[in-house]
Amino acid sequence: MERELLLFGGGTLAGLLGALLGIGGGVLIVPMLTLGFGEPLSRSIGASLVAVVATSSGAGAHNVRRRRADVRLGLTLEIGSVVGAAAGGLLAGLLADRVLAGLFAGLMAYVGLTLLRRALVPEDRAEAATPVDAMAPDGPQAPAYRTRRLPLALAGWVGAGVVSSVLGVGGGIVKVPVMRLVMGVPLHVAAATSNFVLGVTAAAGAYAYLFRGDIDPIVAAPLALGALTGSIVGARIAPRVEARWLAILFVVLAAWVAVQMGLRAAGVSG
Amino acid sequence: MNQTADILGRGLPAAMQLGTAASALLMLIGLATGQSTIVWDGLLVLTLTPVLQLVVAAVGFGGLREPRASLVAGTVLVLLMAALVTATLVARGQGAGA
Repeated sequence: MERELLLFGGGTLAGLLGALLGIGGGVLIVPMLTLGFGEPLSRSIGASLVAVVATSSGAGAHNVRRRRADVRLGLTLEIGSVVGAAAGGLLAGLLADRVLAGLFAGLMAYVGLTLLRRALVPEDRAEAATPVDAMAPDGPQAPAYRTRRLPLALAGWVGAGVVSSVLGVGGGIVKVPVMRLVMGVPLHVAAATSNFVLGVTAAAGAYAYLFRGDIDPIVAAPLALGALTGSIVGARIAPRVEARWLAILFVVLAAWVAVQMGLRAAGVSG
Repeated sequence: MNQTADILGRGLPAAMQLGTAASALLMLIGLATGQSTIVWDGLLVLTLTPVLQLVVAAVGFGGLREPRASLVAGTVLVLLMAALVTATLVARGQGAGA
């Protein structure tokens, strides 16, 4: 029971920080399980995917209710993401833990740099203040970004799906930049839209782990319950929290995790 | 636009919350009674919550007379179910699974 409580607490923290930092819980959960609880990396990834479904369901509902998520765009791009995630989930079963550790080290380095840039470069307040009706139906009232370079964005989301299921993250770290850079979607809409469909992507990858027996229910369940709790609380308090210093703290943590995973990939640590 | 708020703005969150609530209940019961099969069922229900989400989206867009959006949601639903079936078949072929 003590271990379950610790897993619940860790999941809550991951869900909360993920919601506050806008990064999803997977990048926190996988290293927590692997480095903190000593779980094999492949099992950590499976458990993390289930937790991501929980966080998406918790925070995603909040964004839809507040008309922040572009449901139409998200579902369109999700066609690519589901295909990538399903393929990635099957592929992950063929990859050795050391290979996964190396890939995860690279992901953590990228996430850390992204957050560092976000913490150091002031947010575009003009963009954030520009009203966009993300829930407007297709047609004359639809936002202009919705059909801009769609095939390229779809291809990007296929990649996001593969990353999601191979590394146990939601894929938002790829999806949001694709929406912003390829389609010109405002950041607050891109983040909310990504959050809304993260659960669909994670589920597509999680099935492979679930039926392969790569998810320990007694690890995944308290973790998912905690992540759900944390994400619901985080989604509600995020607008009132100055996350800049949290982001800087996370950058330090991400650097440490990247090093640890890199050492694991090199076979230096167990 | 108001119709979207009513159908999707309420229906989608409700579907997501219903799925997570049902899965949370199963997981809690399983953890409390020490029955890992019930916990596993709870995890499966959680991963099926997006399926419910997509069904609501497809039906909701149909009700709003947006056939393209409804078709897109239906396509994602079919792909997700295909992922589920494929994972099951591959696991059985490998002799693994819960």
